[in-house]
Amino acid sequence: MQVRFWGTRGSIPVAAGGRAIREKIRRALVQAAGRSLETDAQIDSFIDDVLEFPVRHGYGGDTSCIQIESGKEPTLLDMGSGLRRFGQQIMGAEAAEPVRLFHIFMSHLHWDHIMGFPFFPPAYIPGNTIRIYGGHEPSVMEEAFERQQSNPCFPVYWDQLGADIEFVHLAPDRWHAINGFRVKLMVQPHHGGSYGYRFERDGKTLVYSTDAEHKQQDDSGIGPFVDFFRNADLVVFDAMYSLAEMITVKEDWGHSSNVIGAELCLLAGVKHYCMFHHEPSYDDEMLHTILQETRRYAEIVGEGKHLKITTAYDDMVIDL
Amino acid sequence: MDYSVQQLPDATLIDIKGRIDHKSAKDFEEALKSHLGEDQTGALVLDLEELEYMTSAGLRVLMIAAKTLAGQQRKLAVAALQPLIAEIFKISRFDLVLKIYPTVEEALQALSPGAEEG
Repeated sequence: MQVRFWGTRGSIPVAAGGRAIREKIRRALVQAAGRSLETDAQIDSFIDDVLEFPVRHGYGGDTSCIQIESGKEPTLLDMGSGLRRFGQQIMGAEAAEPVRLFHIFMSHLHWDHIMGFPFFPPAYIPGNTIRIYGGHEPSVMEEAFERQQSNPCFPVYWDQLGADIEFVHLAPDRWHAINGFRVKLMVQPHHGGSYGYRFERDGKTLVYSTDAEHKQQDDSGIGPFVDFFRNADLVVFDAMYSLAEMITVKEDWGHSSNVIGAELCLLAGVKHYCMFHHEPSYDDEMLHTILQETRRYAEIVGEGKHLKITTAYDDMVIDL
Repeated sequence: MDYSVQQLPDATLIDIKGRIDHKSAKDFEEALKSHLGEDQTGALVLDLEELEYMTSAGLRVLMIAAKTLAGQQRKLAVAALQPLIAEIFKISRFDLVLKIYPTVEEALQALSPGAEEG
C-alpha cells in the first residue's frame, strides 16, 4: 500500500508569500557561503543533504486530499484543493485505457474538504463515474456538493457535470469491501460529525482520522480511538493545534493537537504517526519545530516505546 | 498519583506526587475539585516537584481548574517542575497559558503576598 498526499493543510489553502520565499533564498545563500557549488551534482547535494526541509522544500498549502495508490481504480480520501493537482496528474497520465471510475471517501463535508471538486477534470467527462462514499446520508452529501456548484458560488452548475456522480452511505463500525480494501468507519467528534477510516489490504493498515476533537481523555473517551488505531502501520491524524490552544481559545473548533495524536498512537501500538491538517497560519519553520517537539514529546511520554513521527507535506509519499 | 493539601492563610498548596495519565487523571481531578468551589477563597498553588510523569489528560484537568478559578477571580499556579515536566508544558504550550514558578515560595509570594509556606 502506498499513500500519496495531494493536500495536507486545514481550513483554507495557503501559499508561501514573497517574504517567506525571500527568507528561504536568503537562508540557502548564507549556508552556501564558502562551499564549492560549481557542478549540478554539488548543487543538488547541497540542496538535498545540507539545507533543512523548511528551506529546501516546505510543507505545501493545499487542503486535505490523499490517494491510496493500490486498488484497481484510484482511491482518494477527501476532496480538498489538493484534488485539483491529482486531477491534472491523472489527466496527463491517461494512456490507452483511461481511468473511468474513481472511489472517493469523505471524512465530512466542510468546505476545505470538498473545494477541490469543481476543479477536478474527470468530473466533467461523460462516461466517468465518481463514486463518493461517506458516513453522512447521501442526500446530505449531495446537497453540500450541489450548493458549492450553484449560483452565485460557481459558474459551472452541478447539473452540468458530465460524469455520473454517485453517493454511497457507509454505516460506521462494520467492515465494507470496496476496491480491494477492507474499510471501516468511525464516528468522530466534529461540527456536523466526521468519520475516521481504517483501510486494510495485503496485511497493511492505514487509518485516516482528520477533523476530530478529542476532548474526553479518560478511558471512555480515548478507548474507542485506541481500538480503531490499534497496530496500524500508518495513522494520519488531525494535529492542527497545540494542546493549550485546543482547550482554550480554540475549544469546540473541532480539531485536535499534536500531543494527543502521539499519545493515542503510542497507546494503540501504531508504527507511524503522520501529523496532518496543518493550521493555515503556521509557516514551514513552525511546522518543522512542531515536528521536532512532537518527537520529543513521544520520547518522554512513550517511555521506551518506538513511534515514527512525520509531518505530512504536499506530494509526500509513504510506502507501507 | 498521590497528593497532600496545606491550607495557608491566603492560598491552598497542593503537593502532587507520582504519575498523571489518562487512567489517573480522574484522581487528579478529584484532588483539585474540592478546592474549586464557589465557597473557597484564595489562590491555588500546585507543588509539582515530585510529579514524575504527566500526559495531556492531566494538563486538561489543570486547564479546567484554571478556567474555573478565573471565573471566581482566583488564580492557579504551578511550581517546581522537574525538567521533563517542564518540557511537556513547553511542547503543549501550557507555559503560555498557565503561571509557572521555579519554586513554591516564589509562586506563593507572587500570587498571595500574605501567605507563606509553613
